Amino acid sequence: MSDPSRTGQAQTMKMRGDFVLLRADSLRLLIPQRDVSSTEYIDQQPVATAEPGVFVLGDEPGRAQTVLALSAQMDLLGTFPPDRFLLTRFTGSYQGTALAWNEVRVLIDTELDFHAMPTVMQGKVALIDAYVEIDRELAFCTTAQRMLPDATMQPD
Amino acid sequence: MDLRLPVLLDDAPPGDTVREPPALACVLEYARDSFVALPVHAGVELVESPRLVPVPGMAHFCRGLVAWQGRQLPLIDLQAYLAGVDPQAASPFSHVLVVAYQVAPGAAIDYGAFCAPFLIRMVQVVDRDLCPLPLGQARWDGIAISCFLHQGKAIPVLEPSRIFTSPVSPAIP
Repeated sequence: MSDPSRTGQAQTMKMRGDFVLLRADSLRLLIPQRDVSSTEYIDQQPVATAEPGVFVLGDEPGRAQTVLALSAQMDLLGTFPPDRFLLTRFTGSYQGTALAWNEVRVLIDTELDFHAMPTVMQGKVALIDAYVEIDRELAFCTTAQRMLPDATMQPD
Repeated sequence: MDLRLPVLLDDAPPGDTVREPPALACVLEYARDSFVALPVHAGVELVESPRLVPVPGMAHFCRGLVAWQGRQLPLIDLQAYLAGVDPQAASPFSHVLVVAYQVAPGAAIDYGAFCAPFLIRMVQVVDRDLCPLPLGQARWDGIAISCFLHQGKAIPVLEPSRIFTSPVSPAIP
């Protein structure tokens, strides 16, 4: 039997659990449900801040919510897309920052085939561990920690 | 394994008497006037306009995952991989070459894909065509198993398993 770490090709593992499928235009991400603390509608236009790619919701001092929107390459978008109308907040060190999406689906007790990302594709920053196929389209497996830039992390 | 490549077979020049049994190699022009070869059994299929999904954070020489026969294959742009060319500046492509490889004898066959911006050719190679690896923009010794002269050009023969099992580009910075 070959050593899986040497094949370079996708290894597959079946996993059952609770996940959240997030869509930002053509980007589809799958994260563990435990990473998400809440989801809600965005009912007002986020306002740009002096920091590129960082927006805020609400104008009450000390209660403004930091909001980010990701591109297909998981970079921060400089302009807030008007069709991102759903907001997810995260648990742990990232609870102060929210991300905006076109679609959020919760998958409860769902079994999925996780295919490890081929070795040759791994870039300098490992954003994606694996991919799954949901509704005949790929979704990339990641975590809240990998989606959010370190600058947005808050101490627990 | 079926070889379903639409290929041109280069004829030997008239009057050239081949004394040694020739081997076939699959030659890919990965950028204008830049060639690599693959062992003939490695080239599996030339696919036109496959479904391509870019992957966030992937290595700069990867174009994404291509769907092929129920699998998702990593697609490598050899121009970016070998010469460090920015993928935005690399030659546009409409085809991908699906390649097969094994990491060890007896191991399962794995697959990957290379961008194929130009024609694929099958060429006949004999022992006397063997030549040293070229000095260029890539460290060929880590990824090539031999090299041969064809129409005055040194063409490295790639071993796909060495490419698809490492995330490191051989391009010399």
